[in-house]
Amino acid sequence: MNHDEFKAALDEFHDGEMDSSSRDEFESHRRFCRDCREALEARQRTAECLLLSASSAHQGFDPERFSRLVMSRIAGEEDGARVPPWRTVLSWRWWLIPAASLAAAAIALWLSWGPADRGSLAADILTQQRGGIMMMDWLDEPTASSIGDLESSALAVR
Amino acid sequence: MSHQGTPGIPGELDLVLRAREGDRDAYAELVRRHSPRLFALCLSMLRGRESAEDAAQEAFVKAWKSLRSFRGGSAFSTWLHRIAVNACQDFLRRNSRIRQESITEDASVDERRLREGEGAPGDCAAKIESADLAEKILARLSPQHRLILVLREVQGFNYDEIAEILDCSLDAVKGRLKRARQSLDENMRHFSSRGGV
Ligand SMILES: [Zn+2]
Repeated sequence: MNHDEFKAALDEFHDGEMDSSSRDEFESHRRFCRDCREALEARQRTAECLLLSASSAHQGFDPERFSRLVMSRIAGEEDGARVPPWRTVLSWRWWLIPAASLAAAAIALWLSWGPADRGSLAADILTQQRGGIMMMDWLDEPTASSIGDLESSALAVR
Repeated sequence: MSHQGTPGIPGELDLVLRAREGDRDAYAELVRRHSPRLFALCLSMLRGRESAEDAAQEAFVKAWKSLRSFRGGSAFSTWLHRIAVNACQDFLRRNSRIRQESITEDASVDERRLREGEGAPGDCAAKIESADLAEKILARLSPQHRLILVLREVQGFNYDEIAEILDCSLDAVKGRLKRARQSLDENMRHFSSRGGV
């Protein structure tokens, strides 16, 4: 191997990924090659910088507390997902959809088939709708007709 | 890695097998053993201790859920690190305030910087002696560069293991490691030329 090849394989040497015969060659090359020696020293310095930075990483980290947190998250997710069937049936959410559907059906029946005097709510709703139309009478003729035009053009757009 | 364990202390393989069967105590012990390294890895990528702890927790919960898919083809630690790297990537994607970086780096830019850096022999970075300064220097690197450097220099994984953790080829590991070291070296020079400020 020549200098350029050694230089290209510097990382493999530094990382211990070089086969033993190439390693021996490199060892004897770097003894007289200042450039390779300095490049290797630079690798060593970057490694030391990383180790120095990592040395403070574990300060204040408690594996025991961390493990408890992880296990309580696991327990929370798994035990929460395993709700017994009887609890599901008793849960108010289980009854909510059918109850709401029944109530809606009852109101619909009451409104459409009930006697006129009991249908006051329906009458109120109708009055409010008509009120909107009757408001037109309070406005002067051109304004009312332009609002009517606007409404009809909005309907056309839809 | 000890699979058998010493008398009274269960080995890793024994704990993994028990955890796979749903033994939470066995898994809690695995978490205790591996969490310092996993936390350090997450911290190297995310920088904030709170974020790192969140991501590490996320990784351990995910690992528990997919323990049955762990076939033992690789070391448990390598497998865990891969899950942790993915958890950190997810965290970086979710948090737009933290600089998001694609796994596939812009290699051409890095290559150019690499060539430029190689043209300055003798202009070596001084030895960094304080942990604070080392922190500052590493903070200037991208999460991906910090990750691969920590996997190699701090965690001591070999190229094959790093390829497995990052799910990439051996050549990609070598290339990324070279670029990351170049970037770190440039930053060390920058700080030493400014007198360690
Ligand atoms: Zn040389």
